[in-house]
Amino acid sequence: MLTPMGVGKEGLMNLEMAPEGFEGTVAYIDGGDRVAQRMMALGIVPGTRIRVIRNSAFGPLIVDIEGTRIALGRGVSSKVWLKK
Amino acid sequence: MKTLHRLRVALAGNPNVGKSALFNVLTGIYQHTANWPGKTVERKEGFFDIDDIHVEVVDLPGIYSLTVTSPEEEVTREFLANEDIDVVINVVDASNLFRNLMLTIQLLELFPRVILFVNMLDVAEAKGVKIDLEKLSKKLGIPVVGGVVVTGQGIDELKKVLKDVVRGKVHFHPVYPVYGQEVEILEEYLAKYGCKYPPKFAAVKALEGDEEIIKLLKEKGITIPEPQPQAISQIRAEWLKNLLKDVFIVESYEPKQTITDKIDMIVTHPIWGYVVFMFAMFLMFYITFTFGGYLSGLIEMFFSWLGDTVSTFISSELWKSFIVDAVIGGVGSVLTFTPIIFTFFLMYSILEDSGYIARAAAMMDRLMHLLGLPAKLFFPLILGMGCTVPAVMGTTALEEEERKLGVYLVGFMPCSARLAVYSAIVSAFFTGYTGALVIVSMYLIGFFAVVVGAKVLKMFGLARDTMPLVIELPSYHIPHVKTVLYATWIRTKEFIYKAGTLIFVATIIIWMLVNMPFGVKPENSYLAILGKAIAPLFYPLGLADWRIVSTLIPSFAAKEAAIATIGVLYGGVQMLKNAVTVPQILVFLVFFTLYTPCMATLGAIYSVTKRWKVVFLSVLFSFSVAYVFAFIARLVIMGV
Ligand SMILES: Nc1nc2c(ncn2[C@@H]2O[C@H](COP(=O)(O)OP(=O)(O)OP(=O)(O)O)[C@@H](O)[C@H]2O)c(=O)[nH]1
Ligand SMILES: [Mg+2]
Repeated sequence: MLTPMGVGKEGLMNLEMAPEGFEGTVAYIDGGDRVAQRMMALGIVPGTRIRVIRNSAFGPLIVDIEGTRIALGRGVSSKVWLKK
Repeated sequence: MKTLHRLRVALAGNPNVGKSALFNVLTGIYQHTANWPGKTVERKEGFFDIDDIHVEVVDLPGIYSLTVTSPEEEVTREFLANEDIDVVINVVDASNLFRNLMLTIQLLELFPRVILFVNMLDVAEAKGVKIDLEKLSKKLGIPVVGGVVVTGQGIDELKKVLKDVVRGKVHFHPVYPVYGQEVEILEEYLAKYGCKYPPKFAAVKALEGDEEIIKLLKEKGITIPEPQPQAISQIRAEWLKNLLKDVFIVESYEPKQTITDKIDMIVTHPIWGYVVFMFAMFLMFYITFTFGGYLSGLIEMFFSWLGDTVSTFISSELWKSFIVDAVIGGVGSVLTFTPIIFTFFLMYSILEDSGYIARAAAMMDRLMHLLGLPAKLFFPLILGMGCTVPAVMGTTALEEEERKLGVYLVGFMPCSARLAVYSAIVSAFFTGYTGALVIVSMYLIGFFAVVVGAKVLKMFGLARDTMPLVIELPSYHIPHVKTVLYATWIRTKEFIYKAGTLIFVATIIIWMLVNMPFGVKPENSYLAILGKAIAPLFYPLGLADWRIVSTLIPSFAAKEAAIATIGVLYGGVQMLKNAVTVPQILVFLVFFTLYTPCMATLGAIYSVTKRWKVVFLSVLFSFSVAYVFAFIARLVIMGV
């Protein structure tokens, strides 16, 4: 019961690489440290729907989680894995 | 009317959902309130009456979770676990219900007597979201009241529920997610053996990897299964999504584009976003140093007039100098700074309350990340180019770890007082472009020192790697006049009280150093004695003249004092070039730029950190960095 979905990374999309407009589900967050805790507290939880609002070569990385806009740093976004 | 009943209520919830707004509406705006400065956050208490019930309310800081990862979370958790309260009003944002209720579940596990106040129904409506509050109440097993705090909607109903709580008419039967066997076994065990926290809460948090609770349980010799924070969060989220299924009354399937979305199309755009950012920075700077600078000028004029007037009444030269230069000059330099600081904080508070600061941090993240700096440190660094004191104060907007880094680093940015000294010295040595180039180099060296300093601090463990940026972008709204003025005043007051007294004392000490023993020539003053004593320390930097070294002492109190000291010791700034070579002055400027900004900065550092150790370390740190940079400059310019 306590196994998060999609532990294996095959077929998963890294958030840092996800194109603008990408819609999917959060599959897994790397690491169990404070940063992961913080992301989950803000709603980036495995199983929730996520939409990439902004992610381009220059600007910020912004996602929409259940109607909330969250800006993520470059470093942390690579910890988040998404499923289509 | 006699009050017969007492009720103690706490307001808890996510940041920015309207807890303080509700607090103010309930207690009467800013009445019966007081500030209790906590460690890093403040909680506010107030009271009001409903008929014969005397209600005490505590406004808690906003949090996203009850796992401790920030001081705010710690304050709230400790409060709810230890203090004697009757009921918690959990304020939630209706337009953001899912994320808000993730906290509600945890709150209920810690403290079951929760009233849910679903605020911002107006914002939700604008988004096309409607909520069946009655169904939500039934499903959660707790009372639910909907409302719009800013228009007063729902307040009376909330008061009625509070009244019913006192009359014993309200029942709390919260429903909880089922987390599985491991949590249940631990929970049963804790129920038997006792714990500072309720067994369910402690069991869930232990499996969520909460460091404090794991430590607590380990001390009791309880073995805990491997924490699985993601699995717990996922169970909670899925349980909640299931619960919310028919709570939302969907009106339109197309999510409406809100005003915030429209503004963000430009403000977070990969190109236009930077244009907006530059413009906002420029405006903030411009207004601070024109409007604030203008007021400063008026105050300066007043004090120089006061000095002149007073001096005609004093016959003793010594007393005249003491009263005019030290006392009036000291008070004057504090008050002259104040308008600049006030204006800056005003600009900052407006941007903050509008919702822009979170976007600006998001825009700057990539650049700052490359440099190894926290994104939000950008604002204090910008401010540091005006005055280091508000820059240090500005770090209070950062999280704890980032603040630690910030207070050590912002002083490297050349402030306007340093710019005045550069201009005076450079004009004596260089002409035209060369002079401008020297000044620009100082700014670049200052910024470079910030970047290198951050690396060094992390290397020596004085600052940890900062929390990467993960922030919610709040909806924009027109800044609230009262909120902005209140925030501005609190920040300005800190400067006047804390930094102000220090600048004043420093000015008097400098005066004594330069003028005592009374009646001697400048080269025999205490300042000179001190300067000659520390001069050998600067031989390795190629600075052979004790007088140039001596100027560093008064400028430790206030940077602009360097100009006056050079004037006294050399008989004029222009005379400097007869005694000091060009390479020497360049090395001096590098050192002068980077070593401890001034006494007022140290006061500000104390005011922000409340620790003398940090103040002491920051002096040591900036001195070392200045020395190393100056030494490298010496090697580059003068050769080995
Ligand atoms: N539109 C709308 N705005 C509201 C409502 N309630 C509060 N606000 C605004 O929301 C903003 C945040 O309110 P605060 O009371 O400061 O929020 P808080 O929960 O105390 O926030 P923290 O102290 O950061 O945890 C303010 O600008 C309020 O004016 C509401 O019902 N509708
Ligand atoms: Mg508040």
